[in-house]
Amino acid sequence: MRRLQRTVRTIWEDSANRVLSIMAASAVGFLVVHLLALDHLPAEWRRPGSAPLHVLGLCGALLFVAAAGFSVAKRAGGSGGGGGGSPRGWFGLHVAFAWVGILFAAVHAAGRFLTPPALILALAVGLMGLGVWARVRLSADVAATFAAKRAGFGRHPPERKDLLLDVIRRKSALLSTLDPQADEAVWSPTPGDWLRHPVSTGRYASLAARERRLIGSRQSVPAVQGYWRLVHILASYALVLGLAAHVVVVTFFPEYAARGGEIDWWYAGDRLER
Amino acid sequence: MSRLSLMFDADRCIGCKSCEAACKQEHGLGAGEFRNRLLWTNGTDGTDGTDGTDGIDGTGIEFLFVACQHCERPACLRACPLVPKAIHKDPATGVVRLDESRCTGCGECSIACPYSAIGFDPAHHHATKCDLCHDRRRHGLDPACASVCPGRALTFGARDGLAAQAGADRRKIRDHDHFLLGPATIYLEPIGMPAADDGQWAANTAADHRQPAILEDPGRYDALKRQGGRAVHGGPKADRDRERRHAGGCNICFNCCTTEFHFQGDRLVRVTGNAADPVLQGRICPKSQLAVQLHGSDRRLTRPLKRVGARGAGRFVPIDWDRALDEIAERLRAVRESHGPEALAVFAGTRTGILATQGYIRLFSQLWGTPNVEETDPYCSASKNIAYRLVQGRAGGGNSFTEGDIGSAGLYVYFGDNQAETRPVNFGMVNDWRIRHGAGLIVVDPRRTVTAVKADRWYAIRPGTDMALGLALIHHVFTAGLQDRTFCRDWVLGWQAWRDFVRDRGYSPNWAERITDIPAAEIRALAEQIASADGCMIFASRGINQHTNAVQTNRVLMFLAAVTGNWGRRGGGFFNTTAGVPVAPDAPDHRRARPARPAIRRSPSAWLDAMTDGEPYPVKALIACNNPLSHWPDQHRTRQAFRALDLVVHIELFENETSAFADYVLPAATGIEEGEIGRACEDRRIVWIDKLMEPPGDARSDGWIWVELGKRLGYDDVLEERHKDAAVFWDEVCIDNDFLRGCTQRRLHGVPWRWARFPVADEAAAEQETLYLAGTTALNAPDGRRFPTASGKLEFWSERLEAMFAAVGLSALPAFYSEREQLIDLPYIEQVLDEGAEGADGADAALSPFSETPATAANSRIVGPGGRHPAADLRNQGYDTELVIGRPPAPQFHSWTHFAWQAQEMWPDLYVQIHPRKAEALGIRDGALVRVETSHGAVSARAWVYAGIRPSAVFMPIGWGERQPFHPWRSVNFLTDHRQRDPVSEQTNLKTLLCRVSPQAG
Repeated sequence: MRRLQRTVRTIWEDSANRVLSIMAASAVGFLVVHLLALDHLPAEWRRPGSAPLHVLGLCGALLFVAAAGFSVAKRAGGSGGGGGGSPRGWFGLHVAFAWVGILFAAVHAAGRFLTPPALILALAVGLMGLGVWARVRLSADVAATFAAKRAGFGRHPPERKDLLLDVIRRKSALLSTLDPQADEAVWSPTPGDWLRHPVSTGRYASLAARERRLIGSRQSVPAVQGYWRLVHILASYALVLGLAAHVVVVTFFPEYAARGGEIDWWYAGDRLER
Repeated sequence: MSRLSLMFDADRCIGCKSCEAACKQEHGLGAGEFRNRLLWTNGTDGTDGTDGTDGIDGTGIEFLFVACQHCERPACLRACPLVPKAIHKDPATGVVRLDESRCTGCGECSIACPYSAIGFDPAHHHATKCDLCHDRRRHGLDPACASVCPGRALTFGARDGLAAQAGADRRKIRDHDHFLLGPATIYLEPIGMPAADDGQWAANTAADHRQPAILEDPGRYDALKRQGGRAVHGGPKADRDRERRHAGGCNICFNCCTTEFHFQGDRLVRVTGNAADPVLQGRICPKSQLAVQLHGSDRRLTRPLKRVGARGAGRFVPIDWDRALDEIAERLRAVRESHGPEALAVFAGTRTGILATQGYIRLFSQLWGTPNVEETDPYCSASKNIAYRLVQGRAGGGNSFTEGDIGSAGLYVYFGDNQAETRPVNFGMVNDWRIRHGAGLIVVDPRRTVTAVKADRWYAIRPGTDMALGLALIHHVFTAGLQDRTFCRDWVLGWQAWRDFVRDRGYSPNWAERITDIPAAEIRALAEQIASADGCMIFASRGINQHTNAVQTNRVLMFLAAVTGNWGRRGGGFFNTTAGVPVAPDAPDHRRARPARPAIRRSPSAWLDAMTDGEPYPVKALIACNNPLSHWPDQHRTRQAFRALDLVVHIELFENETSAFADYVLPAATGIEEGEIGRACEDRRIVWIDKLMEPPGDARSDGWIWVELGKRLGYDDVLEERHKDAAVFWDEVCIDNDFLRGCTQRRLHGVPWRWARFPVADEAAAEQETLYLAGTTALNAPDGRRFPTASGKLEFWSERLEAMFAAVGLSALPAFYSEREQLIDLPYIEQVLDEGAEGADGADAALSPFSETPATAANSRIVGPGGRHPAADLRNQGYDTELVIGRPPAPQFHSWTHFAWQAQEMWPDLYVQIHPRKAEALGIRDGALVRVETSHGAVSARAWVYAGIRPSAVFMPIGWGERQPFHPWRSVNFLTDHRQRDPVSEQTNLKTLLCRVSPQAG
């Protein structure tokens, strides 16, 4: 059984880039094919508010939220009883959820790509593209970073050390209030710290960011490598917020959402019949 | 427990990248994945003229080892977004480890580490990093990188202990903790470099300089990956306890390193050094380790092939062994029938192995009756072998790479020998000894090689003029009365004649200054240093051998060693690569087919006219056992000659340039697939390599192929069936002489390091560390004869020698001449008769007095610089640059290492080293594509703008070929000339040609 698992994992990992590329291409292809075939579909598959498309939209939204949850889950200590679960497994789910979510959302959108909610789909497709590009293409650049920052071994102004020393002292002092047992050398804030001590944790994170700036971490690599992940995370937050807004608007302000036009929400049966 | 760490000493590092190879083997890393790297940087830009030699850079190449620093405050760990972290730090040892099974590949650790010591696996999407070989340490072993390091530049241990050792050695530790992360790795300041007051880097360091563009091109990894650059090494670490280990050796280069081969099941998973070896102590260079990729390559030839397309087109169909050998035998008979047995030529060497080259092939050719059998000697070392035989009576130096012998020298002087890159383990030991003992190191070379980078002085000599330097050094030794009078009187025949000759010719330092570009004062100082050293080792190699004046230059350098008393002593001697292996079995007299015609000039380059024009007699069939269509000079002419042959049989591991021109391609075996000894070792060690695995598919050992072919020609009474077993062949056929008789399988297997140093006349005979010591008698010589010459002395001049040299138009007392293609007009050698004019069928030709077998001789004369000089014509045509050709860095060796992807990852492209001033004048930027053209041909390469080379010269390495799988380039031998040969040794000039360089559109 273990051998089978290992074989499956090897096949997956060896072809991971290919699989990711195929997934991305197939999602885009699906969008196009679906758009071309839209006029030939039954009426209820052409209205975002119809019962099947509403369910698909709901599922898509849940899948997007679950995919975004990866970001929290890997920081939350997991469910593995101290081992932290399997972050690589979660990553696989993140990819799968996001991909299926895009397919569902595309069907739910029913070709209405020029309406504001379509921005959510566009964001999701963009996130997928960015993620796949980072995984498939940028990985080689990340690998090439090895031994590329020779400044670490070069000459530096001594005054930087004084600034760093000050940051480290302040971090240590702050940490004694956040987690007296913790060692500054290996500590970084977790979601739990943010919930328990939001202000102190925020100040600590700010100091850590200052330390990184003094070291020049993110500046030491090409901008796309240094910032793609930040963009990915921020865009995913925007996606989740957009989804929430969409749900609120179509649920509580359907007239506004319909902009005076037909409201085709399946549960608003009388209006649908009209 | 103290923090564990590595300590890196750049003074000891020779840039061989053995550490990289060991790491990849240990951790199964593919192309583009790293846990450590050894960086080469260019030093300063060469415009400052720091060493006073006309803008030639004063710092040269520098090295920087990059791996995880195992920081006290690891930035990578804090950057990991996972909870719990995928990276953790062992509180006891301080080792920072990564759990790859948890890493999601976000890359934040890679961004955070200011030392860029976090690697990444782009296929499996996770970070990867050095953990100081956690699994090896659990087995009581040092990290892989430190265990193999030839120069002991990397050492491992408790950080406190390493720091204490550095202090005891009076070495300063560099402060590279600029970010208050507390890196554990120790970097030692270069010797003699003062530490700066502010605790920062004291001077320019490798970190401040750029890598050559050819080494900083990650895009080249993609090509490797596309072509299958994946890890074939390193089995599951969990299975390490069940590994089988076998002692053996590497048979790629002349260092003959001892190794251990590790198997999991039937699969070879790694090659390591043999720590039990009392001399090498586990040191190996990357080549030994990359051999795993040769065994595991899916490009290996596995079936005999028969050509179906045009010669050179490379179109073949599989054929079974019986049919292939039957057909070859039949076609050989037809050649013999039509043209005589001499019409078969055999070329072997490099990958072929000693047992095949000097054993099976020698016997086969004796039975067949052809004298035209050559190894790579005419291109590598024939000249020094002849020089040794003339001066000392036997080829090969008498010293050994031991601390008591070569290690005890007071001064090391290298002439045209880049030992650091060509025999890295031996140089690693020399460099370590000279640092520990405070010995001097001087290098004479047109470019600042890695060997030169380590030197106290580097003399950027005009290529091809080492003889002039040697003459001037000797002139000053005699003029200043610095010679070892006792040694000269007692042990040198003809030294007075030599002294008078040098004086009468006026070969003074002032005379040599203009020729060599080395100031006369420097020449005098060098002569005095050599003469006054308590033991001076004079090294020479291909930079001396591959010239038309090679025998005479070797003799001059030998004379220099001898007159300063540096011969037959510990820590003093003349040492030119390889001692030769005295394997020379003969077929029974009654079975030998005596050739009716002499060998054609003892050089395959002379076979070309025989192949195309039948001069002096036809050569119509060739069995090639390596890659002549990369190796032989003048590839245009060589390929033309190959097209004219009736039969070409190629025995090889991989399909290469020669295969494409073959009628039959026969798949061969590597050392551990057939049983073999290491190649001709520098210091007389015979390293035995057991057959440990079967060759892939239908591939067969060279021995098997020659025995089977012999069987079809009726030679099976001499090349017997049981001789297919290399161990049997060795004991029963190869060692029946006084040098090797004691070097039996039993003796070789009686020690865990599997080697014995010859001469050992019987199994019980003690090995001799240094030959020809005072008070000893040479092997097989009458009592009291210290050297194995007729006189028992080193021989400079005698009437016999004078007659021998006169036969080829020279004098026994070496008169100066250089190459015909120079930037100034210098005397050069001119062949008086064209090849092929030796007389009808060669039968009436004068025979060379220098060849041990009858061979046609050259007739030549030295042409003075007066009159119309061929070099002037070339210069007028725009050939304004000296072209120097030589060996590439340590991971490469001829063409066969180019089939190991990691060697191509380390050194991907054919390059041309060019001085910044010249590059700027030509509009060539670092890494750009350039065209190099001689009057013999042209090739393209990428520029390596490097200040450590004469501004008037460019350098190109050998080994690349246009049919190689990863980064194919045309062989540099499209630039060389097969006719420029030494009249004594037939050694071809491969070192000094005139060329022009121009930018080329990508």
